[in-house]
Amino acid sequence: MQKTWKNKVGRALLVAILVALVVVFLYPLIFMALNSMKDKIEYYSNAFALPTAPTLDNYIALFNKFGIGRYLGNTLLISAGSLVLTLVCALFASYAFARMKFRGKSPTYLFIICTMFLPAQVIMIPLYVMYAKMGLINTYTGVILATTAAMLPNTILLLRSNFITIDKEIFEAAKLDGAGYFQIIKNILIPLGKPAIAISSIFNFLVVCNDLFRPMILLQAADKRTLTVALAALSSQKFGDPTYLFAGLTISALVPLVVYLIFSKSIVKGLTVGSIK
Amino acid sequence: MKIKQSRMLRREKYQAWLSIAPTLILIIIMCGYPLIQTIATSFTQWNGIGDPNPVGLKNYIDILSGSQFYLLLKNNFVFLLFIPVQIVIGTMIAVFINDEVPGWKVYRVVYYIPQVISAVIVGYLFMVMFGYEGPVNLMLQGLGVIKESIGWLESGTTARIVVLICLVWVNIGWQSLLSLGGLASIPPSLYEAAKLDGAGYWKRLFKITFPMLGRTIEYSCIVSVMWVFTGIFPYIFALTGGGPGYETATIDYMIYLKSFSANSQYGYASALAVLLIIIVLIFTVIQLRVSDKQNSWEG
Repeated sequence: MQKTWKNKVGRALLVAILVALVVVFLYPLIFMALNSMKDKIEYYSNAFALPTAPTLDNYIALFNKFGIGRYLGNTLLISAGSLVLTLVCALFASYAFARMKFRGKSPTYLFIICTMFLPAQVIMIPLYVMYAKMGLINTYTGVILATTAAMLPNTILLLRSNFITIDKEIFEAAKLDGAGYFQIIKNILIPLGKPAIAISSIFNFLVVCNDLFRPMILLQAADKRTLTVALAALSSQKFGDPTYLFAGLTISALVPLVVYLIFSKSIVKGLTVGSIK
Repeated sequence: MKIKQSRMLRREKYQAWLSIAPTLILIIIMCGYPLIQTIATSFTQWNGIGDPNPVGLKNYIDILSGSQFYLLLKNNFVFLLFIPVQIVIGTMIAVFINDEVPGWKVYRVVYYIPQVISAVIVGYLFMVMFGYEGPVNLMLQGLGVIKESIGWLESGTTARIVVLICLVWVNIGWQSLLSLGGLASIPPSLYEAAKLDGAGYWKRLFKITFPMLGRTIEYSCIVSVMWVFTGIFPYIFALTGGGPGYETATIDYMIYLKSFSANSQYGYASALAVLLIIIVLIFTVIQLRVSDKQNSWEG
C-alpha cells in the first residue's frame, strides 16, 4: 500500500520535472515569438508580459524594407540545389559501395567518409582563394558545390548501410532479366531505399537551411545572402531593434520547425537507428 | 561462360568507378585539394594579397610559444564538460520516454527542437535570456539566490558557464533520441529476469540499462568530442562572439577570426587549422583505443 503511494508521488514528481523541461525548451522560443509582436518601447518597458497591442509591423518591415523574402528564397534555392545534387551523387556512389566489386573500394570509401571529420574552417581559406580565381564567390553554384561536398560523406554512409541490407538476389535477378544500371537504380534502389533516402534528405535540408559558416564566407554580396547569414549580420548590430530581430528569427525558425514537425516521426526513427549528427 | 563472367566483372568495375566519380571528384576538389593547400600555406606568411612568403615553422612556433593558443585549447577542453551532463540527463530522459511516462510523445518531439533551429537563433536567444535584465537574472533574484543582476557574458567564467548550459540545452534531445534507439535493442527478458530477482527500478537502471547502452554512449562521446572541436563555431559566433576578450573563443573560432576579419593572417590561421586537425586525430585515436579495450573486456 505504502509502496504504491510512494510510486505515485515519484511518478507525479517525474512528470512535473519533464513538463518543466518542456517549458525550458519552449520558453525562449515563445519569448521570441511574443516579443516579435511588440514595438521596441514596449519590449524595453516589459519584456515578459503578453503584447498589449500585438502588431505585425516588424514582419511587414522585414518583408518590405529588409527584403527577407529574397533571403528566404536564397535559402530555399541553395537548399534545393544542394539536396538534389547530394542525392544524385550519393545514390550512384552508395550503389557502387554497397553492391559492386572493384579494386580500391574500401580505401576510397574510407577516404570519402574521413572527410566528414574535416571542419569547414580548416579548408575555407584555400577554397575561398580557389573560388575567387574561378569567379565562384557570390554565386549559388559555389555554395551548392561546397555544401554538397560537405554533406556527401554522411549521406553515403547512411545510404550505403541501407542499400547493403537489400537482398542480393533481387539485384542478380534483375540483371538476369536484362535490367541496366539506371533501371536497377530506378526500380530497386529508390523504391526499397525510400525511407533512408527520405531521412537523409530531411536531415540534409535542416543542415543546409541552418548553415552559417559556408554561406557567410562564400556569399558576401548582400542580395545573395541566405536567411541565416542575413540574420546573423542583423544580430551583430549593436544598437538594433530587438523586436525586429525577434521577428526575423521567428521566420527563420518556422521553416525548419514546420519541416521537423511534419517529419518528426521519421526523424525520430532515423536518429534511433543512429549515424546522424 | 567464364569469358562472359570476366567481361561482366570488367563492366562492373567500369560502372563502379563511374558511379563514384562525381562524388570523388567533388570531394577531391572541395576537400582534398584545399586541405593540401592549407598545410602548404601554414608554412608561409600571407595576407591574401600577392604571393605567400615562406617562413618555415615560424607560424607554429609563434602559436605554440604564445599564450593565446593555450587559452583557446583550455576553452575547448572546458566546453567538453557538457558531454557527461548531456549523456546522463539525455539517457535518463530516454529511459522515461521508453517507459512511456505520461506525455512521452510530447517530450520526444519538444526536446529535439533546439537541434532543428539555427545556431544563430539559439545563440541570440541565450544572449537575451542571460542578459542583464533577462529572465535568468530575474528568476534568480525572485528566488533570492542572487541580490543583484549578474553580467553573465561579461566575465570569462560565467560566460563559459552560459556556453556550457547552451550546449547542454542544444544537445540533450539528440542524446535522448540516440539512447532511445539503444534502449530498443536491450532484450526485455533481461529486465524481467532482474525483476524476478527483486532488483528495484534504480538498480535495474544502473545495473542493466546504462551498461547495456555502452555502445550508444561510446558513439555519442566520439561524435560529441569531435563536435566540440569542429562544430561549435556558429554557437560561439552568435552567443558570445568569443568574448569577453577571447575568453570563450575556441580554436575553430580563432581560425575564422584570423582568416576572415580585418587583418587576414592566412599563414597563421592555416597553421592553427593544421593543429586543430592533429588534435582531432589524437582524440579520435584515443577514443577508438579506449572503446576497443572496453570491447575486448566485454568479450
